Amino acid sequence: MYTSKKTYLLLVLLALLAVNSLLAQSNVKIDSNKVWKSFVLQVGGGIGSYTTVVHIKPPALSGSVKRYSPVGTLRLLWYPSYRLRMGFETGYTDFYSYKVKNAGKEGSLHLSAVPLLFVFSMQVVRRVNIYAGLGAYMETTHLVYDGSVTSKAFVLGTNIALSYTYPFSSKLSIVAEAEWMNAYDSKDAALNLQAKLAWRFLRWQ
Amino acid sequence: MKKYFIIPVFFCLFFSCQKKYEVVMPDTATWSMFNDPAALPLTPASRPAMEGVYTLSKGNDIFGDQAAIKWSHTSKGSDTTYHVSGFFGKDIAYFICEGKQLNGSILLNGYWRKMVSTETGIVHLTISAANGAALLLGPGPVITPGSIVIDGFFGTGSENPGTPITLSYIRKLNNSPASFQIAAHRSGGRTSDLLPVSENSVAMILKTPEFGSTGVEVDVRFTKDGVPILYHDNTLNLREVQKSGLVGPIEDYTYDQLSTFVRLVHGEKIPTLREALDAVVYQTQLQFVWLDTKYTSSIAPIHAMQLEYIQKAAAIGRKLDIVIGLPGKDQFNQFLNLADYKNVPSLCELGANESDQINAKIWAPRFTEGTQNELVADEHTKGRKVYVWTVDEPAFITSFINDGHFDGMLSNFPSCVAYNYYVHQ
Repeated sequence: MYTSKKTYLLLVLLALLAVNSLLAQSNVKIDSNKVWKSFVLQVGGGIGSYTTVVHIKPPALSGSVKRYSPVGTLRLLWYPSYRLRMGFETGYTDFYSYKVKNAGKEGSLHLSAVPLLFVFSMQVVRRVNIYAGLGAYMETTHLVYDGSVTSKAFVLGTNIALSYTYPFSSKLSIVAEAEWMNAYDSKDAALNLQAKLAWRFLRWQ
Repeated sequence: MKKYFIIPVFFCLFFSCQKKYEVVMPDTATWSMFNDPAALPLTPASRPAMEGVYTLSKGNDIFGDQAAIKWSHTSKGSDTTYHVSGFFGKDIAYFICEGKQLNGSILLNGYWRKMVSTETGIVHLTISAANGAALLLGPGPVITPGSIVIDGFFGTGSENPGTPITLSYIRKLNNSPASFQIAAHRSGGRTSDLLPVSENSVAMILKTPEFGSTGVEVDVRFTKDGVPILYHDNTLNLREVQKSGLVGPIEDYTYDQLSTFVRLVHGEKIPTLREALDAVVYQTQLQFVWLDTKYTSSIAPIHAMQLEYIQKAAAIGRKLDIVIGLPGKDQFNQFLNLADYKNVPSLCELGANESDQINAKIWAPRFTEGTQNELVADEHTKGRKVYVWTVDEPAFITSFINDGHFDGMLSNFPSCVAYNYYVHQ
């Protein structure tokens, strides 16, 4: 139920984005009068904060759950002649980690995630873009306790993001972005703040 | 302005509310009469004498016209806990109470629940001396229609019970076929049905007799270090366990790792098969265990444990059938590798022919095949029992019990099977 509702809401959102883009084609001023079609690669990193509940309890937990971790993102976008852009996003983050001490044995666990998302994007005001993605997160448990285990699972998920883009040149921009990652099958979510470089590596008219 | 409209819509949709379903178990420890220090345990003879089919003259709009009342008990060492359950025909409703006697009356205190919803509440019931308590608590009670009248009240949630309910004894519980097994799925019921304990836990095995179960199906998997455990799904996920950071196949982890890091939804540890069978043999009166093999490697370790616990049950005079469930071809082929497999008690979910091939003790067709009365009769002539799985829709449960000739039924709602079996005439 949880999954289907989120999916439904995201599809509604994407439909709204598409309709809105058709209605508002002429209302937005872009930095250049030329309408370029292009491919843009965004690469960046920052810090992520895990925002949902972890249920691990003593005796497994010897300290607190570490909720802040570095995050990196790679996003490839196709900028067509209309406003709704689309592409693919991946990256890496540690959702959370903690140490354990139980019956004289110590260990540690961290849960990392690699987003594998189809993303849609649209400029809403000059230099400000919103993003919404749908796909999966490859979650990986890295456990060191009574041996070492690396175990993976794919879970459905989404993301949304809001960014500000400042262009250095026609090809290169710097981007500040707030992103909400939501692996909703596993109820893992994180808020990320990132700085990125956007490189328009291929463009045509 | 149109373009700004999208932003709040975007966030509203993404963060929109979701309804969370939960059943909050009511606090049943508030009935002062029941807590009176003068209240005593019931006499051993009074409990089975009270069992029977009752008609409802009050409360029937909520629970239906009939109830089957049945006692169950679990033991821990020398302590035995008794519960009386009332199974109703409407909305898969039941009550579960404890009983005491006070000043010549019988008091039943507990809660009721409807499995089709989240409705629950407290129930306080009384059998006065004149309405049958004197008979039940006396020597050699002989019960006749109308000789027991149970009066009381039920409420919603934790509110004080105020809605009247009256049940009158009309006849004994059906016991035909006598060996009919009410087998509870996932050791007693699904976590997703908002039960107070987790599926495939020892706590659920101890709870399920209160739901009317006479047997359990448990899901067996192996940890990385070869410990057989109870777990249904092929991965750790929030449907079954609390969030701990462990993801992926359960077979990736050792038992020590799972025991340290993972808790089932209601906080229980994932039990080993040994812990589960210990609970069945030494703490319940369950008569049947279906070891559903959720893995495809060797059956031999499970078979060794099956033999061990059949012997343990026999050693304490317990009648207990433990069968190895074979849900698919992979498990079937592994079963053929057992020496003397034709003499290993098994339950085959494949066809009747495969059941013949391994001399399965039980053939278990899926409920979607219907009653299959001719095939069932044919299996009976071979000395084989037939259990149908997994029947959850009340109309099917009623139909299969009234019109079929099965020897057992697997369900997530054993209380519904119990009602239909016990009131059947």
